[in-house]
Amino acid sequence: MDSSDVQVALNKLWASIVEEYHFDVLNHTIRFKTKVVDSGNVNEYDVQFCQVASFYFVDGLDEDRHNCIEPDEGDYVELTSVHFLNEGIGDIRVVPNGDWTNQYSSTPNFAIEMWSKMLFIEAASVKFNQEIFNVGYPAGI
Amino acid sequence: MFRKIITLFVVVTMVAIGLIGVVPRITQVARAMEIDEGGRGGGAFGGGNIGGGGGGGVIDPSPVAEGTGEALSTQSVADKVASELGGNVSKIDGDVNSWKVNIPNGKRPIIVRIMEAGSGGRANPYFRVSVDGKPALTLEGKFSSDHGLTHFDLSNESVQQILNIIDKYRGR
Repeated sequence: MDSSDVQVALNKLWASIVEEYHFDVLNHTIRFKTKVVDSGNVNEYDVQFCQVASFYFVDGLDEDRHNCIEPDEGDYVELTSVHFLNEGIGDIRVVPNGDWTNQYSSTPNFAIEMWSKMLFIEAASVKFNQEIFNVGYPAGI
Repeated sequence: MFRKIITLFVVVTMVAIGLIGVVPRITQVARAMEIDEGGRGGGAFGGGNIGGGGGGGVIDPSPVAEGTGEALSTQSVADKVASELGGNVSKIDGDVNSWKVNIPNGKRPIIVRIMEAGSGGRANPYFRVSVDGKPALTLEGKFSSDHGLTHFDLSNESVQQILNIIDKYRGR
């Protein structure tokens, strides 16, 4: 199972409507249940990121992240795109004001756009419906 | 006479050595050009290079921008839309030739995504217009979450289609 197989599966989630999501720190998982409507046909998906070592969420581009918009009636969360990068997206490191926070860093291998928001996940495997992809962690800091 | 023969031999040898050195270099340049053409082929639309990555060395007969003779690409569509509407263009990481244009629109920017073939598993390059936090827009400028009504294959008309969608959404 190579990285292109993972991406082929994740491609099905693009522009999907999130119906349910669950961040489980105890069991190290992040799960989305989504649906895609295409020319009237509805497909449902259940994706679970497993062995989640880190995640990092930003609510918008640059300073727009501070612009927390109240949702209108009918608004929903979308998985706009879901990318897997075998080598990792890059390193996330805290530039600390103190000593202890610089011990927390990560090298995410999944980038999930949700409209203009971004969720980075560092996970060792993905369960897509019933199919499991063991991708391992990327080498990083 | 003997001196002339020696001189001729030296000249012929030098030419031969020169050719031995030059031929591989010409071959290398030709190969590099092929790779470069293949890379650009991934961004040009017109089909034939499914799967993204820009590889494969496929040079497709891409549509040409009207009046310019310039080959259209996902990037050129993004640049034209941004230029018309005062948007910012950014490349989408993870893809070779996919672009996002952010157009100011109060608290909810309009986002135009111009994507290479293979993005999201789609066979052809395509575009999609959405408003942050809302479903995507149809050709009539109405919200819809149906991919069939909101994802459009790129063509020579794409820039105008995008401008029309946004005009209609804004009620113009």
